[in-house]
Amino acid sequence: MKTHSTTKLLLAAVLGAGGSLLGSGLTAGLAHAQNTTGAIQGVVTDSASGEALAGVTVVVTSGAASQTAITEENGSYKITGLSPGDYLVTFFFGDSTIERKGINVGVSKTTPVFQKINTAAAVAETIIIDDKPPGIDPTSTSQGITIDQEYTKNIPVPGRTFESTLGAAAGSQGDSQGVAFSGSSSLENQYFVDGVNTTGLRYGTSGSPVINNFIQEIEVITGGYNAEYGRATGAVVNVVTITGDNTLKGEIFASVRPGLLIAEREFTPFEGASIDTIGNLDYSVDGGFVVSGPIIKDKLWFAAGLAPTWSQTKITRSTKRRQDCQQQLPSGALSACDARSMASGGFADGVADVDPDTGFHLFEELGRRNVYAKGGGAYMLGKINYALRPEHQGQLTVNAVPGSSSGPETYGLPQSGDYKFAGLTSDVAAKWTSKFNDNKTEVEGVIGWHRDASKLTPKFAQAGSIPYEVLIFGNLGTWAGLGYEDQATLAGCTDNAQGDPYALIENCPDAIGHGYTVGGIGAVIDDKDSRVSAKLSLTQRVKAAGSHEIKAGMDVEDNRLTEPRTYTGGVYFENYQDRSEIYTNRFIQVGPVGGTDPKFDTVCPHTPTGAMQPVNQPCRYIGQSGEGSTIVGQTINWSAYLRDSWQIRPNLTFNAGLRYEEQRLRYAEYLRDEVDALTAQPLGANAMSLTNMWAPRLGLLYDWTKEGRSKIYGHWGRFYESIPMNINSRSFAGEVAYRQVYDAADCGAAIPGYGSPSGNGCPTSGGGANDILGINGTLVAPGIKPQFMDERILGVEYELAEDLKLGIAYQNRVLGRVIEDISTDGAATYIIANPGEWDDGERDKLQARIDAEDDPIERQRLEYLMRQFSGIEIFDRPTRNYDALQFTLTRRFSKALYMQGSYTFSKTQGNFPGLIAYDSGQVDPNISSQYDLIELLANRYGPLPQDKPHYIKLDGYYQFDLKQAGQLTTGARIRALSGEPRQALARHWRYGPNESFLLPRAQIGRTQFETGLDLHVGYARKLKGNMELELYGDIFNVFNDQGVAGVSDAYSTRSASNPIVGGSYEDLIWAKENSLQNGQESQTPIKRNPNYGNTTARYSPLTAQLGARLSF
Amino acid sequence: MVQRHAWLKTSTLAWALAAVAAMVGGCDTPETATSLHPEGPPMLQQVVMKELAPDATGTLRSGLILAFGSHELVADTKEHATTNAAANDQTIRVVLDELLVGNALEEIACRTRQISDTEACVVPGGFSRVPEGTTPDDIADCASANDLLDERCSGSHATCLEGGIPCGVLDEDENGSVDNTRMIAGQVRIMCGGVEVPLNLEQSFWQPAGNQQVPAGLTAESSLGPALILRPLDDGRMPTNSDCVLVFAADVTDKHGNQICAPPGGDITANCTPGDLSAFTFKTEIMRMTSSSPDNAQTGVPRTPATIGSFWNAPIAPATLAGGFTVMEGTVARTDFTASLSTAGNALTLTSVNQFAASTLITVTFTSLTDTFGKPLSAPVSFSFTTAN
Repeated sequence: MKTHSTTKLLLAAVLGAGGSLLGSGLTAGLAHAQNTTGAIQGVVTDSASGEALAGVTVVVTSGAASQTAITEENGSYKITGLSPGDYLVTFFFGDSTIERKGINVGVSKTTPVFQKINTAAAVAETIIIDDKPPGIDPTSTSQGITIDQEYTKNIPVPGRTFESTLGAAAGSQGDSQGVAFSGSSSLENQYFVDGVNTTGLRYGTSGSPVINNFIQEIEVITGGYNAEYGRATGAVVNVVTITGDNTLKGEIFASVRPGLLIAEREFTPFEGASIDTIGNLDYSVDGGFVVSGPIIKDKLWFAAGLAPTWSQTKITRSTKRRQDCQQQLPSGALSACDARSMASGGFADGVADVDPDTGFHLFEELGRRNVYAKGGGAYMLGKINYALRPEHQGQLTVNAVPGSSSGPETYGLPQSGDYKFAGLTSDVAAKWTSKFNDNKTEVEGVIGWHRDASKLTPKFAQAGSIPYEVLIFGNLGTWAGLGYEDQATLAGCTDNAQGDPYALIENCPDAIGHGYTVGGIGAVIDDKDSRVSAKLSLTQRVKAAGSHEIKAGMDVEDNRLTEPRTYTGGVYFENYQDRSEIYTNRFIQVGPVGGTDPKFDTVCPHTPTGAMQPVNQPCRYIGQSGEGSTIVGQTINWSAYLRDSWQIRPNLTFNAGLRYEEQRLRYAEYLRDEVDALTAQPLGANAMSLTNMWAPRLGLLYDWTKEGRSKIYGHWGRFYESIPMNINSRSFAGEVAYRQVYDAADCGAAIPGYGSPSGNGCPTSGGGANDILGINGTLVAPGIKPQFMDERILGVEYELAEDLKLGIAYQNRVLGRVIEDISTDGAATYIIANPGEWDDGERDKLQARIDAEDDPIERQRLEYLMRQFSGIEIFDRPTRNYDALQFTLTRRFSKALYMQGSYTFSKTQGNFPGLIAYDSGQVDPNISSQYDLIELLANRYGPLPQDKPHYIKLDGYYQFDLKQAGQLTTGARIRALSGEPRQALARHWRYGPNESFLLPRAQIGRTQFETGLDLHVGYARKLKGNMELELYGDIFNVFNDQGVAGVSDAYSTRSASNPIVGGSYEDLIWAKENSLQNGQESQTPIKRNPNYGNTTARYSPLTAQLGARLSF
Repeated sequence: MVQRHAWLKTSTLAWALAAVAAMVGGCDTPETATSLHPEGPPMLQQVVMKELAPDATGTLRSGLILAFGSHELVADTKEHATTNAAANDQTIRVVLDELLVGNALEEIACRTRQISDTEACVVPGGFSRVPEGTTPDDIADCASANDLLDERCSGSHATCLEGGIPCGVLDEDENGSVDNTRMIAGQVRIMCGGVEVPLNLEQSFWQPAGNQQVPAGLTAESSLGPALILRPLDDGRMPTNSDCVLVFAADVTDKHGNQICAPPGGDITANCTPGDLSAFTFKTEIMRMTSSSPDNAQTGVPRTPATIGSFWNAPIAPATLAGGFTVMEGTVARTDFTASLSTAGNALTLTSVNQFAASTLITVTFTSLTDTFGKPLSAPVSFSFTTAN
């Protein structure tokens, strides 16, 4: 489906500008819900004989709470439900007591604590052992990383929220919507905060931006996850916020990124536009507090935090004109500027001057002004923990992030595009955990509520009710007449005005179609998304041929979305001034031809594919209010799972699990009583039901050291995608887009300042090549199957030395099936399908209906459906294969040093990058344009945009103990990565820019290899009592290497052309234009985008952040 | 895509190395619905042209057919060798199964560069061939402003040269790409009965885009690719009643240097010898009179003016008018009629200053007319009418 999506991540953008602020030294509590806790397990043996010791009492303690286990006959024990943090583990055997301190437990991790006891020497004594257990989880095949408070305090993390830390995981990389993992796109992850699913409902982004200061630990699972986890083909991110215990503690913090300490953003030349903008952060400030402690000792605890933030970005907007007064001299140097014609002895030749060194046009700046984008908000946390008894605990968490921002229109009139934005993300999580039967039985329940609201309003009220209009391929000299540009721009850009020194050239053309906006603000945003979820699990430990940890559970989610689907004024205009055409675009609802329903009060003439004459389609325009202008969508998810972690021997574990999921996506409320025009059936409630999502998971681990210092493991699993709700809004809400093309002369007289008539003057009927996208609605292919991915992992981890762990893993991920919309009739009918496959049984059923049908009209309709569905098989099957070899080295903090690094060698090949169409920038999960049209399929196979073969990451910090003078910490964050594949893209006549792969993927090579270095320095000093003050500074991009983050892959933005199958760069010379009105080819060569291959984005400049923390 | 994954059998090192080997191994692009077939010589897969065929009433109608090859979206009735290809408004679309080297097919428009007040750089004919291996970046260099041309437009990929001096690629919109291209004369020829059909080089072109899938809004007949689109000069005029073949210059090849061939029936899975196009021929329609005035068998035709109009499917060679027709008034031959042609050449008018005899059968017969390519009538054409009292 063609995109008109609006990115609704402004809140995150507003709040993401700050930096890492604080950490806290809160210690761990006990017994939290599923996915937020870890475990300790091990084997106790006789140090002399090596025989297992049964009956040893093992007690783990944190703060005032403790849990106990007795070793089994084979000496093994396991204690679960431990919140992340440090523990004291005590072994009681006879009169001996052995204490092991500082045993760290991570989220979803099992920490091995093996203990040898000298039974012969057992006397009444307490032995304290300071060495740490291995950092290898011998029971889990999960890939990923654990990020704790020390990491976010001492490593220069580039952002404020947990999302900014996720890039530390091997195999991860950023994309336009977040962080992507293991060859997937970022919209394929699932995010949990305190056990509640906070994944963004609409697109699958991170839905709740929790500030790092409120976080105890972040667990990033990038592969190999067990049956408890589902609905993700990327990664699972578990965030656990701080929890109170019996000690009152807290922190006051502040940080600032002052503009004075931020390098100027490097200007990136850009061809063809007479307006340049460059944004530089003026300031980003935040501060706040977090505090936790007891309310009733040993019973009731609290944690609370508040962190407001403010930021401002200065956008320097300059106007410029081309010049025609210089020539390159025989010496190679440029002449002085002499605007006289060559005949008169000057250098004006009627061709705009070009810088011979760069190839960019030379410009003269005319005007400059600064405009500002501002943002503000606050992170809020409230948490209560209650322990009825140590075995029975509950927790209630509230997270909220209100925010607001405002921003300017830079390519148009402020009264058109200046905006204000307000958003509120909120989460409530309630959990209860109970253990029975000597902790062998555990029951957990979680109820969660996630809500996201956002609203965009124009700064100028009238922009909220009039149509948006963009003037394209015109001239700034004309547009300056609208009054916003300064006098110098008006005078300097007006061609042939008195005093125009460059009379032979057009001074300020919009050569690339950047456009100039007038009218209203366009898409209306007033969205409210929510998810209510509940889950229940039961864990039982059983002894049978070893030991089993059997876990069963289920969950259910009710996801809802409410949003407007309309434009201000009910329509928007594209005013192509280079060819005197005006497009009017509006949402409509179509009625049956010949129908009598009075609500279809107008006609929408259009010419269907292959028809010679237009059809007068009954329709109604969807305005800013009324039926169809607000979409209410719903998706119900549920799942159940059963898994067993079977320790056949203490050093041999077999994990097996089976997960079942279903997803039911419903029609928008206003459509549920409608009769589908194509199927003649009532639409009903469910638009698409995805069932039979059986997801087996298998894993085998072996520890050859038998002490938890090694593991070799293998994993295989199947993972199903959870379709975000954008599809409810677009495909299951009757979206039909009507475009009319008018000769501008039919729209009235030219308006001074526009240079053309306005779309407001175009009649509502008639037009030229009228086009209705989706006129036949959206079908769901009968027998459609869910999208899934298969994963194989083979790995080894080994503790090379104390605290130093080496890991090598091979990970393979293959998309097995994809859900995308396709069209076999040129975008008149969209079919949600599995491209390339249609169920044989469904075909037979439909054929049987056709054969049995006597009514010729009904038979014709069924035959039409048969043609539509059979066409699915023509489409290429989407593929995405990820193969990676990961080397990881982790040095746990010890002897003042922490370090973790990775090198990933990977290939990501295929023709389907995932839920983000990176090449066009479209974000419409499962309904992108990637499979809409058969002619757009060619050349898509190859290295996908996320294919970055080499990625090196190294994070670390070192602490200098200055004794009485305090402590100095230095941290670093290093990144080095391959560039991304480049493309040559063109416009599609119907779908617009960047849809046609003129050449095969990556035919043009890749962008350059990039590196980056960030540094952290902190100085901490003890004050009175428990108080400690730390001052710190972070420097991001130390070498101010504003490397290339993106280049233009748009070979042609003005011309439509179809793919040159298997072509090479040389072939582009011969590519021909297709008509923008009907797709017919011509003999005219395509027009090259002068910015093709030019840099479009750079990495952020050197930025310094200063901060302070006062902890107690 | 075939991915092979070598799993650990013996040691960690072994599986690690095997995994690396699996990753660095080549991954072939799979055969897909949009693939071309670059292996072997380039083959004609379809040839689309306009044919005249009688409709249900027997009236000849023109329509696109596949005169060679087939396609699943084209009706069987439109897939056949033709002996009745339209001689007017004809455009032949030659669909190939792989890409050709565009440099041998088209040339690009150049501009005139003023070197000095008296001297200009002009490429003869205004168009220039493009050296093989030239990229769009090279074209952009040669589209630079005049003062930059000498520096930028040089080397083996420079184009639009005259006497070694770069004149510059025509790029009036200054976007670094050429504004216009045309087919190179003689590289692709249509030979009909030994006569070369002159092509409209501006309207003929090489279309490298496309495949066997039909784009939205179009038909298979109009959109398959990659294709050579050949438009004869004079609004697509072809010789009548001629057996025609395609002839390609020796340097018209695919990227491997293979010449084009035509497999039997357009079956690209069959073999054909590079350069052998004998499997594809077509014949054009005969020269026909499409209508007359008066109509054939019309009665009550006024006696004056004595004007007889005839309209033809091809322009008539003026030189063949003299002695090319007879007018019989009853059994008497009228020799006082003179013939004249319309500007387009396909309307022939016979006029006489003397009126027709009353109530007499007038029979007009055309015998030795030829079209402008010199192709004669396949048989004399005759019609008659009866005059009024």
